[in-house]
Amino acid sequence: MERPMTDQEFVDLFKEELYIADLKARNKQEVLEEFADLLIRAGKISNRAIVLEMLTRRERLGSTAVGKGLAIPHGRTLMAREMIVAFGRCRNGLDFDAPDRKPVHLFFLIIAPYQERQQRYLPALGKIAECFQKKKLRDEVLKAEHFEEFINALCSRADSQ
Amino acid sequence: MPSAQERTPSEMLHLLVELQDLDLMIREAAVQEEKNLGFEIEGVSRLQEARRKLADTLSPEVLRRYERLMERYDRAVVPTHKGTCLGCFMSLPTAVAQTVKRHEGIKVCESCGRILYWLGE
Repeated sequence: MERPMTDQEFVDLFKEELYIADLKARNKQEVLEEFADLLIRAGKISNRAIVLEMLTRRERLGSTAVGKGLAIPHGRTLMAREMIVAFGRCRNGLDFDAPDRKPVHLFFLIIAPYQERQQRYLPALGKIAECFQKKKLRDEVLKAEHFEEFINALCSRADSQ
Repeated sequence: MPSAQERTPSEMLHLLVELQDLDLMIREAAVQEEKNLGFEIEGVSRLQEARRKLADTLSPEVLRRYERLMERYDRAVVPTHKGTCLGCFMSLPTAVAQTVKRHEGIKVCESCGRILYWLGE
């Protein structure tokens, strides 16, 4: 049975090596490619093509943009040894087929194996979608200059609960 | 696009992983857990079409074996770790483990019959 994720567990999901302060991507496909490249560089996956194909197919099922400038590209794949969470920011925003048609600035990538011992995949998806409903947090994360400020913004959100 | 006969064993193995990722995505879409989290799930028919096209690129024997395993175990392709099948957790003979590491073709676990894929240690 999956339990909700605590704030500390949520903050602990993020690692500096999987943080992109400024995405270079200019469209949806390039965002997915940039994340796949990051996972390869970080040694988190061994096959870029399979992961990219899975993410692209997941977007065909329905956009992972949830509105308010937020998207959470995600999916399960055999290629993931463990759950991986990455973050990327696009200051200017780009079209990601969001339901509110607004440009997306904040991207959270989640990749997980089919069966994950700690069952954090759906709780992590839910937690991101819930936390970033708040404009204050979105603005702080958008303004963060580096990883430490990004984490501080998440922590201050937890402290204000 | 190469025919099923022209594909290398390594390419065939990677296509099986893609097919399994896709099958499990279609299965999860039916459960609607993501929809409950606020994601739009509207393209199942697009994925089913992609699934049909991908299955057509596999040889009929390989596809049959894959589908039998999916019916029996839910997952046909499983990772190996340190010489162990992560489907049934039985140790693999050294020769099999070495071949799986090289992605040289479709190797199955002698204990459970699942197709093996090495992800790195």
